[in-house]
Amino acid sequence: MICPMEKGDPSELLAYSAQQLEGSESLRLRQHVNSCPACREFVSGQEAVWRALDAWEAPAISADFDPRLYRRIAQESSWRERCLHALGPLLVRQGLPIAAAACLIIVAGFVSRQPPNINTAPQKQAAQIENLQPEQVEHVMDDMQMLSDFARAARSDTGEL
Amino acid sequence: MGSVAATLDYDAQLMVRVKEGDGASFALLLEKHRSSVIYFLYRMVQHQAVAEELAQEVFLRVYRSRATYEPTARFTTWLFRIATHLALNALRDGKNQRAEASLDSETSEFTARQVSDARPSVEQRMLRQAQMDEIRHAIAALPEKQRAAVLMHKYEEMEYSQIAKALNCSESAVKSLLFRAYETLRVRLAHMA
Repeated sequence: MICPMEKGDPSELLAYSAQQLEGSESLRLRQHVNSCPACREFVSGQEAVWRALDAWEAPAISADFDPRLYRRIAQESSWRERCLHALGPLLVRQGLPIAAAACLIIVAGFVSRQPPNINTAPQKQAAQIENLQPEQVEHVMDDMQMLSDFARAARSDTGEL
Repeated sequence: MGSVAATLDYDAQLMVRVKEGDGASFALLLEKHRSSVIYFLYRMVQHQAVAEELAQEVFLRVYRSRATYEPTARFTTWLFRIATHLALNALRDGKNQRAEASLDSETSEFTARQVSDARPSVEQRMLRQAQMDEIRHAIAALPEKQRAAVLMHKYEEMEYSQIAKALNCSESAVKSLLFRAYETLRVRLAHMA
């Protein structure tokens, strides 16, 4: 076989020193390493690196990591929920176009997130808003369901702690 | 759809379910990957509080991206691409100054855990602490991309192709990063053989 050090690609030696090779491949490398001082030195040094890195432990994770994350997710979704609640009575009324209600949500979202784009033609923007409305409402409903799932998961975590 | 789903890894399947509104699948992904993400970020920035803060942001971004998620790569590749991006930004924003200053404070945290685990002698504790300090300083001294590549290769056992996607570079570049990083570590940690 071609010596990995001479080839300039020690990938095989890295894998061998990490005991990631099996069967004939491992045997082939072992036979070469036994007869090649450069590869033997590489493997010896790399095994020391693996042992050192194996010994490096990370500190314990905070017990409240998950609850904190779920709270942040809930906070991000709460502004959408407030808009939806404000428009709730309108949404359940038969005959009222959902497009009009979602239009208000989109406008609120644009107002809160983006600076006004004075270069956009009003008719074109209205058409884009109408096209997005049903999907946005659907996403808001999905968020409310996921919040419910998260709340159950957070209560479960709290209970386990 | 069925044939596409069959080729997805399990985590990617879970993420597709998250996209479809399944909150329980997100909880499963969090449970499975929380530790590895936090440990990776800790070893990158070497500050536990910063690591957890960054990990929170990683999972927030996973959640926010659910509507547009497409399983074009393994889930862990995507996850660690986000984690690496945030870690590199944090380091470049100067938080590494806090991390280097905290390396000494981290030793007392480590020592406390070791004492409670095995009750070694004072000399053994001091020796182990010195060794841990050396390892952490050796990793902290690596250039950021080399550090990220080593951590993904060693602790996450990611393939060269995955690391390349996470670091947004070629496989040959990843090999170069790893070989140089390991050579530096072999020299620096040779006395620990």
